[in-house]
Amino acid sequence: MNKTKTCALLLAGGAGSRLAPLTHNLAKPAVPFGGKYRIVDFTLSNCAHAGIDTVGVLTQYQPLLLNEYIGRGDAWDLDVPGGGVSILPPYQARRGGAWYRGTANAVWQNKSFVERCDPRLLLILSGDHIYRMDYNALLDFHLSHGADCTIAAVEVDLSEASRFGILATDRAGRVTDFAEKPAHPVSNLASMGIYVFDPDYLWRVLAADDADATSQKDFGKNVLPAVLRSGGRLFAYRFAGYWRDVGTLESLWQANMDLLGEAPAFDLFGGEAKVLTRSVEGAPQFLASGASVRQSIVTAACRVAGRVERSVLSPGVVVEAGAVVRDAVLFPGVRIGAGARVEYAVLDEGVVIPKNAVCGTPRDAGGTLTTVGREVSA
Amino acid sequence: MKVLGLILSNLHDGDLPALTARRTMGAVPFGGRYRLIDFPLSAMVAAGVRDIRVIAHRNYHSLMEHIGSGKDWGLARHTGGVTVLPPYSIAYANPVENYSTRMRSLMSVRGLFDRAEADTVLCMECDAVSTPDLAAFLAAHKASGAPMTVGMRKDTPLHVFAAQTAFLREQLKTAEAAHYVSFWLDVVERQKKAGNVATYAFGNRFFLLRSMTDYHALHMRLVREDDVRAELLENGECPVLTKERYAPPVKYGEAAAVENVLIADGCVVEGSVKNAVLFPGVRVGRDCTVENAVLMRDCVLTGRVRFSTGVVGQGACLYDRVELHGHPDMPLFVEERSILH
Repeated sequence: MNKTKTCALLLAGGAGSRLAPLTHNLAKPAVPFGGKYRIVDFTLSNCAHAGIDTVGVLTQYQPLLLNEYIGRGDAWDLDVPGGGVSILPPYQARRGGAWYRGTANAVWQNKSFVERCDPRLLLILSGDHIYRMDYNALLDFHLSHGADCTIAAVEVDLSEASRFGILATDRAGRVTDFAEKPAHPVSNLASMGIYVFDPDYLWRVLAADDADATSQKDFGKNVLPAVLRSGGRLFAYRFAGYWRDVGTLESLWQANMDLLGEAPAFDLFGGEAKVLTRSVEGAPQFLASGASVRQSIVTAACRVAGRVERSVLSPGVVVEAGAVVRDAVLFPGVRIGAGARVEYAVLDEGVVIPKNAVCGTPRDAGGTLTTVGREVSA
Repeated sequence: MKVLGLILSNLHDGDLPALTARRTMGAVPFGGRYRLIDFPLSAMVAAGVRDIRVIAHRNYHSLMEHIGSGKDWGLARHTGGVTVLPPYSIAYANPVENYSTRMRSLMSVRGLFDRAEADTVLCMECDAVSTPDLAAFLAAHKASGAPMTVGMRKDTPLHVFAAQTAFLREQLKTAEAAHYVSFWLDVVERQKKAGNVATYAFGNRFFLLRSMTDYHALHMRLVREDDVRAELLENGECPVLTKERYAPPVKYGEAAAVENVLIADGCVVEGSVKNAVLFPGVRVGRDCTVENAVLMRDCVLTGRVRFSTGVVGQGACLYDRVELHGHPDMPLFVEERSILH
């Protein structure tokens, strides 16, 4: 157990445009996931389980729902005296104010928040990843290696590697090369977008970055390469568990499917570390006579009278008699009318599929993923 | 009108002895994810009552853990809130007596009525499952001007009453001096004759739980009768609130065959389940068949288990080739935490 005081900053300000239309009205971390959760639950639960109870959440895009959802952090037991969750939107100060321009700038603008907390280590997290991780192991690694900065890294498929920041390390784990989204990746070791910094070191690097007019103020593109160039002690901590960036519709769908089956890739039921969430359960789900539900996850307050296969149903979903739902992710309050058919799709909150309608094309017939947003009325 | 809510949680423990060996009637699980106390407590909250005391006499640990700070009912407050009152005085919490009486319960908290700012006391018990409109009941009580109003369902009096605080205080003082024993017979009936008690007919149903047969039968009605389920668990006017458990959603396996089932989050179902209520954390293995059953929290069925018409107690484990069948008039009960194989 790591007793060092750590403050976490959770970057939750991105527009999540690759998740459109699901992110038209809310920030990416607030997007529903795995039935009763929202994406940010996984990161906040990791903080709670690691005993990191001072968390700043940096928001700027459609923050209303996210702010309301996170609240005082009480759902994750983070509402402790002297700590807690703070929502940190951009603000006006004596010398003016500005929107967050990139991840590095967002952290730089919240220097005073971190200084008030006065932590030994600063943990920078991303609000759009699905994983279960013991942050204390990462923090211990950082301290025992005498690092200035540690990047958590995970092996990904080489075919996907160009979506990520790719690292090369020496035997001791020290990073020798870093390239953000390279066309020709040198390895399959990808940055998870999770960084540990000694705060004093970070402020020196960010001050220089802030002064550099050509910088895009991004950790991956600018700050980490600058650390490497200046000879900083940059280490990679290898994480071996399940980790998914759910920044695209396809990856969001796939990560939901990873929860299904008797030996799922990511087991919501496994391990000691329960995923905590604010969602209110409501009445238990009811499966009527004539219902058939297989290889699926179904949440409280759902009513199912039709057939559901390989799907994830969020709270309050209704599947009427004779309807078929397959390979689908249904967000809260979705209603599938009698006799309707939904195949290989993600349906946004409150979407109604009318009686006997057909939505999506079957996955096994080579269909592509269909997404129905709230604004679209089928 | 300022209302003090009272809930007597132990009085009916004797009706369900198998389920109250380790908990009070108020903490008896019901309907997949609730406990009996959730019903009167949520109804009071829905009616705007924000100051509630729960009187417990024995076996109240699970009740206290369930209620906690009252957060899940919006009752973690600086003013009012919910407090469980365990016995503190030998005089009114006779350790020899198994089930304390209504009179003793009220006597034991008499100090509250002296101090209370509330002008009205609303008192309920944990013997029935219902989602009554208590705001209408309290309004009727006030409008009638009677010092006390007793709730009725058709012609049957319910264990629900509202009384003016000063009136109740006086009645308890008289009862003590006269050594009255029964609150209903010695106080309410006498006052009724004196014209001090009004009655109020509730529009909703109160489902009484007087035996294990009632308990099993009401669960079967929850899955078979849509109107019962709607009235008790989906009443938008009186949402039933309960402690959040953070359980993951229900996971269904490849071979699951589930029909007419009410299932709480946290279950894993791989076998066949029909006409049943499953509490959180229940596991039903691939080759198991369950019918007309109530499976309580964290019980595990694995191997070729056949179970029908009964209640499997909390944390019980049935495995290998167990085959058990009850009858609706005599539902089976598998002891909590027992292991059968």
